[in-house]
Parts: sequence; C-alpha cells; structure tokens
Amino acid sequence: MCTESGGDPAPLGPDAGNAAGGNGVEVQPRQKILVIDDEEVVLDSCRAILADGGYDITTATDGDEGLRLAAELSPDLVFVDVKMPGLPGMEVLERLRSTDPTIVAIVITGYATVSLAVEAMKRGAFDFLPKPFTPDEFREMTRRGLERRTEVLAQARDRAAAEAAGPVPGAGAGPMAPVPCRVLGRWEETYDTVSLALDPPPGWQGFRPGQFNMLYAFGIGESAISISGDPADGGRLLHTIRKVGKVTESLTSLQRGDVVGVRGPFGTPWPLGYAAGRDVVVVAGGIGLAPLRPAIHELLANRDRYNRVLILIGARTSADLLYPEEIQEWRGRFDVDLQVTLDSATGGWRGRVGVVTTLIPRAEFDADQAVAMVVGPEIMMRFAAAELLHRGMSPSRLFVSMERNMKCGIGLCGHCQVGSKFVCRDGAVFGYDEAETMFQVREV
Amino acid sequence: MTPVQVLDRTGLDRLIGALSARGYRVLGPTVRDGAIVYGDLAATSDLPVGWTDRQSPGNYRLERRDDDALFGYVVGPQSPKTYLHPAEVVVWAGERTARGFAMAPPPEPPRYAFVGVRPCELASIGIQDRVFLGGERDAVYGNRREGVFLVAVNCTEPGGTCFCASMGTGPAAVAGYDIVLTEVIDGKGHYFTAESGSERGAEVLGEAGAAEAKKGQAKAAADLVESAAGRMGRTMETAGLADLLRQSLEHPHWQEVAKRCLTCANCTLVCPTCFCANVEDTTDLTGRQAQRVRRWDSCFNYEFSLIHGGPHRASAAARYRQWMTHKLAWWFDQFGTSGCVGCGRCITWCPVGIDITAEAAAIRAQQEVV
Amino acid sequence: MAAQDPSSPPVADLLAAHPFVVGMDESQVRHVAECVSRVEQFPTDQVIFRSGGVARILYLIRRGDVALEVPAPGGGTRIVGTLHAGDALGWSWLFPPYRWAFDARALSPTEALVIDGEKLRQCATTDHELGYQVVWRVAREMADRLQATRLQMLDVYGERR
Repeated sequence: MCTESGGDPAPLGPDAGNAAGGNGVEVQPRQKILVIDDEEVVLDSCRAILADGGYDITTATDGDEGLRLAAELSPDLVFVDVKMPGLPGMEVLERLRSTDPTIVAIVITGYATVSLAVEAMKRGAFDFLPKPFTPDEFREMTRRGLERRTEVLAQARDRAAAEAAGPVPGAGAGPMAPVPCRVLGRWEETYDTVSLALDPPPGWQGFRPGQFNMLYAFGIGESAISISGDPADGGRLLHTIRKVGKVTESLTSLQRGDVVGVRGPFGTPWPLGYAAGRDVVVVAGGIGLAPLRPAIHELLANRDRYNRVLILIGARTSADLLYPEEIQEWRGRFDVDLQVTLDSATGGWRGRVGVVTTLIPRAEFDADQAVAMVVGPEIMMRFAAAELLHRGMSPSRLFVSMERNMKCGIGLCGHCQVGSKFVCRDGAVFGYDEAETMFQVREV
Repeated sequence: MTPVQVLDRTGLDRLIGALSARGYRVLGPTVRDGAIVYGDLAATSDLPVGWTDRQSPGNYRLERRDDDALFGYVVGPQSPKTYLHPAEVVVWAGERTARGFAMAPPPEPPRYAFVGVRPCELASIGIQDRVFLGGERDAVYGNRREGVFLVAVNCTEPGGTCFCASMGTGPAAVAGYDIVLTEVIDGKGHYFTAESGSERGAEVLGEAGAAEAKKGQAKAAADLVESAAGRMGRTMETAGLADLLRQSLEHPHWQEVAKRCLTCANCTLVCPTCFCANVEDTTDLTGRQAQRVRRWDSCFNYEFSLIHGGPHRASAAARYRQWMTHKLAWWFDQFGTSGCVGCGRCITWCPVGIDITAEAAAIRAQQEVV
Repeated sequence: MAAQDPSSPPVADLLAAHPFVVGMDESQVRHVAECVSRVEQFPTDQVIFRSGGVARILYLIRRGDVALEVPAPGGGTRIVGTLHAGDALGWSWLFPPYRWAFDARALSPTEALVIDGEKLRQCATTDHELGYQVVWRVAREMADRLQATRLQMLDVYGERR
C-alpha cells in the first residue's frame, strides 16, 4: 500500500525511518500483530484467521519469548493469554506496557472473571477477549485494537507537537493545577441542571465511560463532575451539572466563551469490555443517567458485541427527565429495550409511574450472565441492586457508581475514602461485591 | 559496614555548622511554651539541654534532668510532617488571562536538615513517602522531601506513651537516615556514637571531626538502646490486628469509645502520618487573582465527609472507627504498611487520654460478643 | 365494553396464562376461572373505576397500561402509579367497605379478565386452601406496591435532604 508523501504519515516508532520507499514516496508499513499463547492450536487459528488481512503476524508460546519478540518488533497490537506456564500473562502485560505505553494489548483467557478483567484493565489492557472466540470475534477485536493503535500514535504526535509549541498554563504547578478550557456550548437540561460542552485541554487523550473530571470555577472552587458525552467525540467534552452548591451554581452560570478549569480524567471506567457477549442492563435514576450516557453511546455504537441491551430510566417527573431527545432515539431502536418510569406524573403522562426498581422484576434478561450498571441516589442504587440480586444476578457483575466528598480527585486529600477505597482512584465505578459493605455498614 | 564513630558536644556543634554551611535550614527539638517543638538550630545550646518530658494519657509536661543530656526526652506534639506536609500551604497562585487563567509555578521550597529525628519519625517519613510519592506524586511534599538531610537520634529511654518496639519502628533507627547518633552519659564521659547512612552523611561526619569510636563506646551505646526496647510502657498487639478491625466495623466497642471521644481532632494533628487535607480556593476582591491553599483537615471534623444533605459520618463512633480502622487496617490495603509508628503522641495529646493500644485490645478481647 | 368474542380462547386458558395464578394447582385455577365473568376491553382513556365506587371486581390485566390517579386541585389528575400486563388491579373487593380508593383509567388499549370479587370471596370461605392462595397473592402485590410507594415517598431525586 503506498501513500503519497504529504498524505497520512507513517506511524511513529522505530520503524518510521524505514517507511520511505526508494523513490521518496512513503510506504505504509504492514501492521504488526504478536500473539502470545501457550497453546499451539490457538496460535495456529489466530494466524489462519488473519492470514489474508495484510498483517505481519508473529507468535510466541511463552511470556519470555513474547517479550523478546516485542522488544525486537515493536508490534502495533499484542494478544496475551493470561494463563501460561512460566511468566504469567499479567506480568507480560505490565512489562509490555511499561516498555512501550503506545502498545495496544488485548488479554485473552478461558477463565473470564470480572476481577480478572479489572486487573487486566488496571495493568493497561485495552480490551479483553474471552475464549473460546469465533473467527469473527477475533477479527473484530483485531480491527478495534489496530484502530486504537492509530489513535494512540496520533495522540503521541499531537502531544509532541503541543510540547514543542510551549508549556501549558499551569505546567509546573503540579497535578492540582486546572487547565483552562473554553465553553463551546451551554444548555439547560432541567430547572436545576445545565450541560456544558468544553473544548478539551491540549493533550487530552480521551476518556473511558464512567470517568469524571474536576471542574474549577475560577476563584470559587472545584467539583467532581462525571463526563457525560460520547467517548468517540474527541472534539467536545460534555458535562451535565446539577446546581447543589456554590461551585456548581457558578459552573452552571457560565456562558459560551467563558473558561472553566479542567483536571482529569479520573476514576475507574464501566466494564464494557467484560460485558461483551452478555446481556447489559443499564439502570439510571435521575441525574444518574449523566455518567451512564457515555456507556450507552459505546454500547450502541458497538451493538453487535453485546447480547440484549436494556436501558431502564427513572426520574422524578417528566420535566426532570434528562436527554429526552436521545431517549426517544434510543427508544426507536429495535435492538434496545428501553423503559422510562416517573415517580410522579400528571394525567397527561402516557408512560409508567412508579419507582425505577419496579422495572426490574419483569425486565427480560438472563440474570445468570448479565452485567448491570446502576447509577442514581444511593437509596435507589441500594434497592435496585436488591432487586437485581433477587433476580439471580451475581454481585460481581453488578456495578454502581459511588459519590463522596472529593477535594483532590487524585487520592491524596483523604476525603473520599470509604473503607480502604478512595472513590476517586479505586472508583467511582465499583462492583457490588466491593460496594456491598459501603451500602450495608452505616456511616462507614 | 562503616565503622562506628564518636563525637563530643563540640563535634556536634561543628556538625550543625557543617549543615548550615551547605545551605540547609537546620531544624531540631527546642523548648518553647512548655513543650519540645521544632525550631531553628544554630548550635547545641539551642537544644533542650538538661530537659526531659513526662508523658501519660492526656498529660505532658517538661522536667529538669539532673544531667546535661541534649536528647534526654522523646517526641513532642510536632513531627517532620509539620515541614514536609505543612499545615497550610499555597498550592498555586493564579490570575485571569486572555486565555482564561494561568497558574504560577510554586516557589522554590527551602532545604531542610533535621537534627534529632527519632526512629519513629524516620518511619513516619517513610510512610508519608508512600502516601505522597507512591501513586500520583504530590508536588508540595515531593519538592520539600527531596534532599532533606536527616540526623537521627536513637532512643535510650522510652517515653511515657511510646510503643515503637511493638510496631517495629524503634527504639533503634534502622534505615532512612544520613547520620544516626546515640547519646551516652556514663563514667567515661558525655559523648555521641555516630554512624553514617549515606555518602553525604559520611562527609558531614568527617567535617564535624568524628573519630573512630573506642571499643567500649559503641557497646555502651548499643546496650542503652537495647535496654530501652525492653522497657516500653505499653505494646500494640499487632498479630492479626488488621483483619480483626476490618471485621469489627459493627463492634459495640465503637459506641463505648464514642462516649469519651470529643472528636477534637488533636490525635490527627499530632499524628506524624495523618495526611488528610482540605483544598480551599479563594480569590481576591477584584476576582482577578486566585489561589488554592491546602490545609490540614481531620476525619474527626464534622464536615469532613460532607455529601448532599449532611456528613456521611455524623456520629463520633463512626469518626473514631474511621480513624483507627484506617490507621491500623485499611492503611495496609492502600499503602502496604501500617499507618501507626507507635510514637504515642495521640495518647499523650488526647484531652481525655484515649489510648489506641487499649482500644485495640478491648476490641480483640470482646470478639465473642460480635 | 365488548363482550368476549366466541372465537377467542376460552377464559380458563387466558387465566392460566396470567402470573396471578402461577403456583396454584389445577382445581384452584378452575375455581378462580369459575369466578371470571368476562374478558373486557378498555380503549385509551376509558375510566375503569372511580374512587368511592363499589369495589366488586378483581381485574387481571392481560395487556395494556392502567393509571391509578386522583383528581388534582385546579383540574386534571395526579397519577400515583401505573399497572401493566401481568399485574392484578384492585384489592378493595377483599376488605369492607368494598370501595375503590383511587380512580383507574386505561392509558392505552387494555384487556383485562374481570373476576367477580364477591363470588371469589365466597369460594375462598368454603375452600380455605384456595382462600389462602388468593389472599397470599393479594398480600404479595400489596407488599411490592407498599415498598415501591415508600421509595416514591422518599423522593430520592428531589431536594437534598
């Protein structure tokens, strides 16, 4: 594949220099994929599946060989089996990522558990492919991984360019210094809730659904606000803010062209990789829909990766429903089961009235394998979790988003601790098996 | 294995001078307001010469010794955290600009040399290193911590509330110092054995004129420290303590402590490892200049756990439980070590004399109740 | 109100498909079926019953949506809850003074099995086992509704408490 010089530049990396062809035209090098698995049959099928894709595929049967080959080849994408004799897969993953943070690594395993998935993500895995996988699943995961690689390299280039352009205001003032970002748009969602669209800070590398930013109103203070936009939209950073105090009052009064301080993204993401192949039940109460919207975007943009997708939304009254146009859009899809219920309504309302937990007993999903993502006021999350567990859902597959007093967002001020967890760093997304103590022990 | 050296009081004066000459601000124990607190040292005469402290739950007072020991006491209400993790510090100063606003990088922090740091304080510095430098690096702590010169002093007499031996943090300094001294006053005289823990420590000892210790001197010093280890007034039973506390969140004893605890936060203020801090954003009257200040906070404060509608931990029982369970159990999950160094400050400075070792023992004793 | 279409499935089959009778044995279901007087269709916005009216009927909703509401001051109504396919509507037929507490209105075309409450009460008196089954189900419905109502009452989305 040739591109003219002046078109897409060859990816950065040790091979960038080799990309130029003899006549000065830049040749797009073949993307390099490395598969590390102790089972030959797995390596053979991976090779066979990707045979005609135009990739350079290399395989290794153990972690040490894998790391050696990775150092030599600088692959774009690596598949690592978790359970291997010798050097464990997680260790290989960590070493790969620490040597080259631009490597995209995907963990494969026959023992898919949530804790494994979370562990892999924490060590820098991009995604998670449970065995056995079909050829289509493997091809799709390869495509996504390489897409991500392109993104990562582009971001690395942007960062280098930004650094060359000069220091960002606040540089040297540490991780507690917010970066100024312009408000691109502002609109009122409900009587006490406003959404702001921000120009992302320089060097912004995107966010994962479930994460939050610390937003700073100059001279007033900071507040932790979930990022509530489409993760695929790198050009705008969306936040939906409820007016509950001095800082949020100030943030919600900002207009287009004003400047907001941003620090982030912080926190743990929703386990969308783990949810592949499963039923996904999203339960959103009130403003809880804001931190779930990015997850919904990602679920619907990759709809064929999941089994059933249910979106259960509760709000106080119809005037308090967030994102009504989007809800309509989602409702119009045939591949989504969307239900809305209100706590209270006047006679003109044609939909359900009753708390959102009433939607759970009759919702159509397979509790044995489903993953749930629940956000709302704590009481609502507690009761919704009870209903989901009553349906037979495993607590390790039920995820909630906790809220606590946050002053720093980076695990240093101590305010957001619940038990041994820092909500800003170990959360805000927690599996219910971890969060159960937080709900059940009073004042913990 | 560097040989043990020895200094006399004049040598110690030279040591302080050598540190000063290298540009350090030399800090150490001094007597002020009826307590031993950190202050600037220009010479050994600035130290609490001939003073000792009498500490017990809820009590602290100074007394005259019948000798001229320079280090004849243990710890006062302060610790190195007073300087490395200051009670109030400007994190950044900013102003409005055409691009929105800009933050000025923080001013150059001073270079500290601490003389007279106790082994428990060395341990607490190590613990705060894990807190502030282990994950996201805290610039305020990091900038002050880098290059700190530590002259430690082994303890030869346990303090009234000390329990460092059972926490594995003393009375001997094991690591983390540039120089460690042990003060000996016996028939042979008044001297300080000295060992270096770093290259620059060895250099400074050289500049102070340290000589090689005579055979009996090193042994006399070691014997004193060993004897101190055996004379501790209290112990913390640490076996299985973290798990015990993790499982005792609903233990009735918390209500018992709550009857006594005033939630005054003294313990967190004097504790050398407590790190919780509030972040306050302010602006001047014009609204053009802003700054962010970090100020010590405490989990005992009512507003500490404020979420909508009120604090999450409203009761005294919940707040005491948070402090103790964090210190002795959850700290392991977060940072890999205990958060307690056995210095006894929380016991001495608690107005009602609550003793953390006794509370741990009480919870352990009442296991069958739960 | 349309009478049952002779070409539609027999009442017993329709009843057997409703969650209310799940767990009852065949003879009990037959007894309840004998108390079914008809299958009724309610078009959108049709009032099913009004508060204060005599409550003689247990409605088993087969399809559609029903709002329980009260008249609001200044006109209009406030909906306190909605019921849907598979729900059992009404328990005032079980307790004196046998009066409806709320208004019920179909929000969409709704079909329900109409069970004669007085007849069912009499069956339950003679057959205590059947009585237990019926009252247990009504009790469960009330328990679920009470819990949900208490959560509604907490107004968790509302002003900070």
